[in-house]
Amino acid sequence: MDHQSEILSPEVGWILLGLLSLLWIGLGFYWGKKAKGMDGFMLAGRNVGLAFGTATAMATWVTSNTTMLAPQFALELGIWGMLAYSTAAVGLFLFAPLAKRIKQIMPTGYTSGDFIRLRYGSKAWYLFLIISIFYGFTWLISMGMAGGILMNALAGIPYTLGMTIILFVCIVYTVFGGLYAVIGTDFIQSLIIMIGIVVVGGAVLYSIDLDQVYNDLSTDKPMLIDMLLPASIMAIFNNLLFGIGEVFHSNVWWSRAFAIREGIGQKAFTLAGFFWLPVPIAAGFIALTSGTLGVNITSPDMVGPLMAGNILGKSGSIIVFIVFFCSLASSIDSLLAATSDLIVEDIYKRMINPKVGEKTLRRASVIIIVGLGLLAWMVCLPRIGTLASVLFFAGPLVASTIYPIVTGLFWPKATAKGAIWAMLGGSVIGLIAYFFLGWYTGSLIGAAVSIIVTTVFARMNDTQFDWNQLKDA
Amino acid sequence: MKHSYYILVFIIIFLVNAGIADEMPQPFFDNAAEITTRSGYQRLSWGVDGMAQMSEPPKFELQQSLSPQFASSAHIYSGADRATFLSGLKDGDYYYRVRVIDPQNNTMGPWSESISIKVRHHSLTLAFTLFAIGAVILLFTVLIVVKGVRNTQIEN
Repeated sequence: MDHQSEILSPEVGWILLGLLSLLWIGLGFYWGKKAKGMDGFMLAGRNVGLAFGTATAMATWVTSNTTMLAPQFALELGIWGMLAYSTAAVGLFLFAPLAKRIKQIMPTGYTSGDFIRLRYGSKAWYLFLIISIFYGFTWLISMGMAGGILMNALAGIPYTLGMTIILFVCIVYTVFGGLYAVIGTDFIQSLIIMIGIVVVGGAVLYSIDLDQVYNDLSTDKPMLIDMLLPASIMAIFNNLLFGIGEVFHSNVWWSRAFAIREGIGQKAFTLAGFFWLPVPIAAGFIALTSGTLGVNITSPDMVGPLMAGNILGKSGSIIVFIVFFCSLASSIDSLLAATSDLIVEDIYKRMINPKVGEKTLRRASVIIIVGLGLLAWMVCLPRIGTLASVLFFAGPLVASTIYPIVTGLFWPKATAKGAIWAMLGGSVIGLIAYFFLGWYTGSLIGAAVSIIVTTVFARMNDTQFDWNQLKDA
Repeated sequence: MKHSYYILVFIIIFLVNAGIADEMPQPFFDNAAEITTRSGYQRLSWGVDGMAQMSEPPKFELQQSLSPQFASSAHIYSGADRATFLSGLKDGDYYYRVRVIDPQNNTMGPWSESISIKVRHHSLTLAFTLFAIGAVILLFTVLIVVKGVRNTQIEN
């Protein structure tokens, strides 16, 4: 890795890392005691209230994507890039009514895979599982990498060690506590993130001369404040649709829709969207001050923690370290839990061992969480690219699932063939755009293909789907 | 006597300069010699041979110019980092070179081979076409959800 000047001493970094690790593992054990039975472990007893429901949705969405990718967007694509990132809130807003619908038509469902299997049959289900597990895995990798990058940027802790520890901590408390531990820790993590963002935002506004920032940008990086930067114009709806695709298809969000108590899911997701909306703007803005403060950025995904640390100084960097650690942990745990649910429920239970008992199923969950973590760790080791390039590679794939999901929930005429061809066509053509036009176009093209194909097949279909079939979940 | 004194001074200066040149290695870029970007950003990284054996990380100076001869140049970075991220570049050809510096003794090593970044942004026609497609897709998605919710409410 290229040398990057750090802000905290490694000793302080190690102490913080140790304390935070102990705290989350301890809380994971505490909340894990409530996780009795598979409904408790996978869906927190299907009885999560408004405060915890809102907090877990908001904290999960404030991932490395928000705290580290939003600044990267601002540094690469300027003002529009920063705003483009905040459009990911639309995913939460639009998922709010979907959460209500999901709970109504699948009151005993477990995963998003359950829905695709019952709605469209096994071929679409296999394809959906490939896309969903691939996406979950790239997200997990991007966050494992983000953990290593963060600790290296702020405290000079070697990338490999930082990445290993954050993955290890999240694996331990997710294994012991399941979704109870994930949602409980998410609640505390979301409070820390909100307070931290307010502190960092306030400090930035007090310590930075905005006129100076504008002048420096117009001299050194003029296209970042140019409203006609073509790549950033393309990125606006690309990111918006990527965000919608992520939320609509991923079991991370479906598991929360199933877990949240009946009647409050819509409100919880809407509130989470509003709480989340300002975070990427606050996090992204600080990236634009790097030139004014004379901070050299060696890798664009490091810009968020580096700038926050530089603005706040050594003591402020401790807050930054804690906030970023929380934002990563709150998403890694959710992903480990939700992806393992998808594999356990949809692959192990449905395809391999349908007569499996609850104890064996719980053991399988633990093995899969640990296995996923280990696999992610191995892929994270060589630090294969920047966070954006790793995560957005899955963009066309997830964007292609938007319309099979949304029309499947509301249109009785939506067909299995339409869903399959939408996912296949959207993924392939979107990936072509990703490679030939740029990563900031793949999701947009993928979604465009998906919506056309799904609609055409639904228009040609005369049969109506019986919604009662979904109750078998 | 005076003549030999000048010769001695010249020899000393020559030897000192030769020694510094030996101590200050020529750095190299890890990037290709010619890069084209359509987004206006690019990461540059560099290094010197034998860095692992050095007791302290060397310091570098990076310059940017709009001409390959570096007729006029701008200072981009100096310090121990071995990479920098450039962004917000306008359409045009940019040239970069890097050298090792020793701020304490105020000495500099030889410049690296220069590399060039050609910035050619996407056309605005393409950008606005994709923007319009995105807006239509979003509108359609919102309509599906809103209409779907209304229909299910009527059914219930």
